[in-house]
Amino acid sequence: MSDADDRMLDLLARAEPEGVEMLYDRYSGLAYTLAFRVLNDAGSAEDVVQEAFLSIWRRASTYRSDRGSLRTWVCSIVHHRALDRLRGRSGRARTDVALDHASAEATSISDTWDRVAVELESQAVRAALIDLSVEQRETIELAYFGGYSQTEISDLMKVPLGTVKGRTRLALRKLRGVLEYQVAEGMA
Amino acid sequence: MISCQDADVLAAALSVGSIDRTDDATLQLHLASCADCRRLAAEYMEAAARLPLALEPLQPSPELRSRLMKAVYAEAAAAADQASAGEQGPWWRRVWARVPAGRGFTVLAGAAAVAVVAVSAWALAGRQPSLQRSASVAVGGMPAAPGAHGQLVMDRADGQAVLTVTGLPGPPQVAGGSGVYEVWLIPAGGSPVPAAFLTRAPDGTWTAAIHGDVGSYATLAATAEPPGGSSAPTGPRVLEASLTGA
Repeated sequence: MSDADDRMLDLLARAEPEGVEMLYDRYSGLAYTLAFRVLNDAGSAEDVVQEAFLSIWRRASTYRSDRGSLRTWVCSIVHHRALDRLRGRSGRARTDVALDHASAEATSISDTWDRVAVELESQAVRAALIDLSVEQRETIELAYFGGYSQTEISDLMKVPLGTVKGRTRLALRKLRGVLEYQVAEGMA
Repeated sequence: MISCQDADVLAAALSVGSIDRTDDATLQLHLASCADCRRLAAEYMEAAARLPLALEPLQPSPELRSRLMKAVYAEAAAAADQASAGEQGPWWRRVWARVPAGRGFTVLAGAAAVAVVAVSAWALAGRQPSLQRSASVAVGGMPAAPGAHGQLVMDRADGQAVLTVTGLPGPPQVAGGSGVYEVWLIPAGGSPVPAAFLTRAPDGTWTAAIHGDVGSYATLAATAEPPGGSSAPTGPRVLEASLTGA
């Protein structure tokens, strides 16, 4: 965990609003990118990001660093709320934008080294996704960004449910391997 | 109880959000008592949380930051006012003031919950040595939800817990429509800390995974709250359990 993360946690644990500001400045771009990818609507994505950071502010004392990074915590909350909103929609309007074809805007991360580290990590994740089989990648995209359940993915891809479960597990195992490599290389 | 191999498959599905609710409840029960699978699930979550990095980055409008921080500072000011007011009386009076209507029933329910905890602890310690890594606490319904009852399973190693409840009507009806059941951890003499939301499975069972050092708190409770939850309890208490000695 970085010194900046430690500082943010300390402020959040003391219920200091400055902790939320720091957290927001660091992760709002990633949170919004994720929410927009799931919801394909700027207003809904901003609503989800606001709800997520308010939730984090209200329950900051429940965060435990031994369970995962701050980024994982933020992304998990944003992801869950985005999926809840998506599944609550009538018609389930989903985006079909491919992983690397979303429109680009400036990143909110101002620090050059942070930006370089994030870019390196982004490249590693993209490489890991390319390394997955087409079926595994499609399964992960339908689940994580499309908000489809495994049963729905089974119907969409016309494969048995067990195949979907197997592809999901294998894909996560490979992505986890990337994470382990990054930890070993000091990138995470 | 599922095997670790099954838990591996479900944990992968959980990390990308494609797990169904029944499987989620089953997985959470397994994770509460299996540190290895908990570690694996955390690693899957870390891996899945990197997926947004593959997207070209976007940025929200500057107004969003303003809206968020306005809400955060307003809540911080309200909490400071509440803390200031609370300092004017003893802790038990402050806790008592938060108890909803039907205080006599509340006391009886609390005493019953404590008794069940004692029996559960005795059973775990004396009869089920293989389960001593976990502690089980009975959770009783309150006058606002007399038919509700459940169980809180805690992992003693790190305090993580899973709450499973049946008999709760839902979703709760609050001012403005359907609300949520929010779980609180209450330290002795302290203010309730928001811990989780109860999620309803298709079979009517409600579950919540509670992170944090659950065993360090005195009481667990659940209340009906508006959509999105609250920073402090505002609705009637529907569940309660004493954690003392658990």
